[in-house]
Amino acid sequence: MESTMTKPIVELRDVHKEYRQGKLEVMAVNGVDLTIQAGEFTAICGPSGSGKTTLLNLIGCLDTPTKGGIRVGGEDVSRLSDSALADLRLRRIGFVFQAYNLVPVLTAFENVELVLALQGVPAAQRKKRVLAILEEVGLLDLRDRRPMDMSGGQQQRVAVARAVVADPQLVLADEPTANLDSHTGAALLQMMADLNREHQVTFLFSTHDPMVMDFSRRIVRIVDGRIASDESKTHGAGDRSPSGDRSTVAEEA
Amino acid sequence: MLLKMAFRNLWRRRFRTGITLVALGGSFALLLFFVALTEGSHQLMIDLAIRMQAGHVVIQAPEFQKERSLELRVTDPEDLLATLGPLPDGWVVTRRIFTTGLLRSADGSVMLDNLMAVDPVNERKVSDVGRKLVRGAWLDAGAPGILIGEKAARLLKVDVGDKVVVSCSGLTQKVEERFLVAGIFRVGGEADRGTAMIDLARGQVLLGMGDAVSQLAFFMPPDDSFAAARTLRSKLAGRPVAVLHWQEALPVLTQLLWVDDISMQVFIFIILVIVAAGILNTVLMSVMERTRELGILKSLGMKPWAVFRLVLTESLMLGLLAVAVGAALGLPLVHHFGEVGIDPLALTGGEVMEMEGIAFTDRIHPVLLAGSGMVLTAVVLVMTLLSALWPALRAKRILPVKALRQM
Ligand SMILES: Nc1ncnc2c1ncn2[C@@H]1O[C@H](COP(=O)(O)OP(=O)(O)O)[C@@H](O)[C@H]1O
Ligand SMILES: [Mg+2]
Repeated sequence: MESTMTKPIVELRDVHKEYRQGKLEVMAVNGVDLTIQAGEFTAICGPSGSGKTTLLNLIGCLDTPTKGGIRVGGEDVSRLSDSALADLRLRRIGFVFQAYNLVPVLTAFENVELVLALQGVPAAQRKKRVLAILEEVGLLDLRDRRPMDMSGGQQQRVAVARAVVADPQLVLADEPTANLDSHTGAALLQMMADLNREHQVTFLFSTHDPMVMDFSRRIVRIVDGRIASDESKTHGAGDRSPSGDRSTVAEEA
Repeated sequence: MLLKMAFRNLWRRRFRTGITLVALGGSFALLLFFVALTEGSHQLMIDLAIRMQAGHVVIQAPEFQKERSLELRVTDPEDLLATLGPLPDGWVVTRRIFTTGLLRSADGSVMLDNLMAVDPVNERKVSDVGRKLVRGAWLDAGAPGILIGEKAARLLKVDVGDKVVVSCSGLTQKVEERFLVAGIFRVGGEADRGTAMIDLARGQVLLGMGDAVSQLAFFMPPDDSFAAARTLRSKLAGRPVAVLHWQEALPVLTQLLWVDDISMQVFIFIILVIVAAGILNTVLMSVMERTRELGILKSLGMKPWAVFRLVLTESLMLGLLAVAVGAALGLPLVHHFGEVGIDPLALTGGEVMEMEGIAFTDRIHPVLLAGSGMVLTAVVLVMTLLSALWPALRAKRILPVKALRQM
């Protein structure tokens, strides 16, 4: 597994993002250099307003930097059209947002299926993969529920399933536990840690939740749009609990 | 999957969708009915005008159209008809002389602005007067009978069997003759005072016309009229007569129908603008409300144009449903009134509509031509797509970053 961690998935070089609101200028990201390798389970930590969401949006190709270069999977994204960026997001990146952000008119199953449908995967194949991933996150029984009929923890697990179903190179999760109680948050983190360990899914979080930092193997701290520290732990993700416990924790979510 | 989402989005807002559907469907039903009513009333007007004043195709002297004078006549009608040979099944040809004159009784007189001498057998088959006799009977060939209108009868204080005197200008001299009132008709409007009919043979003698007539009027299934006019024209090429389609023979009616068509199109346009505004509003609201949701779809990798298509699909679905609702409401309405007819007095508020001395008092039967229905449907659907274009472009331009920040 260590061998897979040498391939850079994301490379940021001197990335800046400036917001202008009337006369006010905010440097939300101010000269960030960062490399994420395949298989990482990394948290970007910092207080509210420090630029975490902005940074994740830049990495996720949802936004473009005012200055600096971003490579995703070795590809320079600054020159891509909106449509090409959409395609890159579709095929390489999974998103988990703080506010779940499921499509309200679709069931749990369909929300996960959506990504595969957008990719043009045939229906029969879609069904197999969606059912497999829903089983993995413990939501097989809730597959026909709409988001509004599910708890926050359940919705967020659907969101994780949606993010990983198409085997993306990278999953970006912006404060995924912020709206969950600590118990539910822990179960969700454990689930993602398992996905990371068992399927080598690369996760990049933003958070100010100490529990997320506990789970992470690498912690990048940012303050005022700059990286303040970057430390790797010898152990982290999922190491705390054996995989046999996962189902029991997951059911509480 | 896009269709499923589009459908569920409409269903999720079923109250609003329902209101929109009722409004759009209602407008569409109204359009269908209005178009059918216009078509029905046009058919009626054409039918009545043709029966009273022309035929689907008429043969007359070239200048007669400009000046309805006795001199401008068809001198050899029988020879012309012989040239044409046997007429197709379902055709009727009637011979007519048109002139003006004065009708007198012991108690008074009325001006006849339309004194007709008609072939009693064939005119009977096509005449509106024949269908609308209130007393008495139709003309007998060779008899000194006259058909007069109800108003004229009242003014002259005469009834069936009474004597009246017709005086008018013949071809060469002023003439006068006694007639017996054979029948009294009520067709409505001025015709009930100023129109009278006598037997053709008697008329020819009285007016000194010999075998001549003013007009040969051909009646046939309406759809055949244009082809028939062409055929007759080519067969009679070189003869000193004019072959006119009713649109040429009745220019005032043709003009009136044209004006009516234009006002119908203006009305349709106004309704469609309202419909478009309704769709624009509904779709725009639904896009604005779903900014976040559409932002999610885009962040997941849905292409901008796919989002555009999603919104258009939803609108088209709305349009199709509206057309279905409209057809469900409008077609039975058209069918019902097509069967029972509508009293034209109810439409004009009691006023008799009259044109060129012809009153339209018969019930109007709305008819929806398949072509009009399809054109209306297509126009409504195109309108739906056009008015959804701008909201769809807005949806296409939604920035996921901004959409996701809106909490
Ligand atoms: N669209 C925007 N327009 C103006 N300022 C913004 C915009 N988005 C973020 N900011 C500002 O950029 C800074 C970083 O914001 P953000 O990336 O959301 O931080 P975090 O996610 O760490 O809370 C904040 O000061 C915020 O007010
Ligand atoms: Mg944030």
